[in-house]
Amino acid sequence: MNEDFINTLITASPYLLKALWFTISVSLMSIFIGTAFGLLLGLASAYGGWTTRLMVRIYVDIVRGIPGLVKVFTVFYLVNAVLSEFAGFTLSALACGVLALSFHASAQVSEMARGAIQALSKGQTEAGKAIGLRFWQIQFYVIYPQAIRQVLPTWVTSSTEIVKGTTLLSLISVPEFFITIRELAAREFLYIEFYGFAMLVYFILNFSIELFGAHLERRYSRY
Amino acid sequence: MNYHFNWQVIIEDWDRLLWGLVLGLQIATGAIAIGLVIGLFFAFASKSRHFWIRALVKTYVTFLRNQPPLLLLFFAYFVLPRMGIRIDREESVILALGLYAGAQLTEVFRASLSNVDKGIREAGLAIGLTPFRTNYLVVLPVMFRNAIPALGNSFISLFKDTSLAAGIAVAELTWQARKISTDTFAVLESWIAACVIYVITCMIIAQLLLALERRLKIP
Repeated sequence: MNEDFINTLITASPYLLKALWFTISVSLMSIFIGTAFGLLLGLASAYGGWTTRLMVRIYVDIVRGIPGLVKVFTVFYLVNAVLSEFAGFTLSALACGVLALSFHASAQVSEMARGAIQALSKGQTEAGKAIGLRFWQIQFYVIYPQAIRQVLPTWVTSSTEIVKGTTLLSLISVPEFFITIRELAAREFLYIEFYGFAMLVYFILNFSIELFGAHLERRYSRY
Repeated sequence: MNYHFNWQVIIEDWDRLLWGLVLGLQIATGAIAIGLVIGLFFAFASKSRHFWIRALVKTYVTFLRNQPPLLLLFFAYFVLPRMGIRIDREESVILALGLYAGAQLTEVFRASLSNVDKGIREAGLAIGLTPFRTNYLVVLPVMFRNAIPALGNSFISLFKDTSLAAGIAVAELTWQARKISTDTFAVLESWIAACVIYVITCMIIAQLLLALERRLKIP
């Protein structure tokens, strides 16, 4: 290992840690918002009438057809243009990034949720109705415990996709981990070391999500 | 609304967007070619009886699959030249995305390889083919047919990932849209145009793949 690299790493560690925390919190926010919104969309497309289904279908197809980076730029410019027009304020680059990643996650989650709900046999819902449960009670006590098993592996994968997606925000100058690495690498001229280091960090981040997902899967497989 | 849409700009520069799209498709094709070679090779390697070969494949797949593609791209573009490997922008994008796709396609092929009926392989061996020729002539075609839907999805997501090449100034669609927006200040128009082109292209590719799947299906 290069001594310059170690020294720079130690000097820059507060910034790097801060940036890493930024990446993690942006990912968590996007995953959370995207999952919540995606579940609603999934429920809407599983139980809604044909207009609702069509609207969700169009939303999902459009969001999934646009590459992540283009989504980030479009949200950054389009949402801010609309907001400044009608609401008189604009969102920061960070908020736009979270919004774009949440859109991405919501489309994925909605497809997963719809698939999982439709894969369950109708008898499940009917049994719930027969013992006098309300719609939301059926969702929580009957559908959810079964659907989550099916959804978990895919959901974990799309969570790691979101973590990978946070690197895109570096292109609209959100001070996340990757932009900090890029600045350090360019300033200190230590490209191999810093990019290698970033690879290690992203690997650890995503791999721990995978391990956590595997742990959850084991837990939920007892149902 | 105060914002005045000026679609004229997009109409005048339609050829730039088109060539950007073509470049993106070329990069995606190059990357999937690399990915297919790696994926095929490693999928068979993952069934090897040697522990070290299996461990190597596993490490490659787990490590690459968990990398952000943008980071791989920057690595290929900034780091490889410093290690003495001379490649230009487009090549570094193809290489980075190809390696990334390779990890995913290894998984795809491994899954579809596991789905190939054991009897098919045994039948190949029974009529006196060597193990290599059994794999090549008997197992491979069946496996490919199993893998086509997943391959199509990989190609579409790879095509979308070519937009990352804008990050190192490769003149594909995203970069062209950005260029038009900074040249003409028609920011909304250029990004909306880019979105529309991407969505339509993805839909067309998806339809083509469905048609291919239907053609190759054994009734």
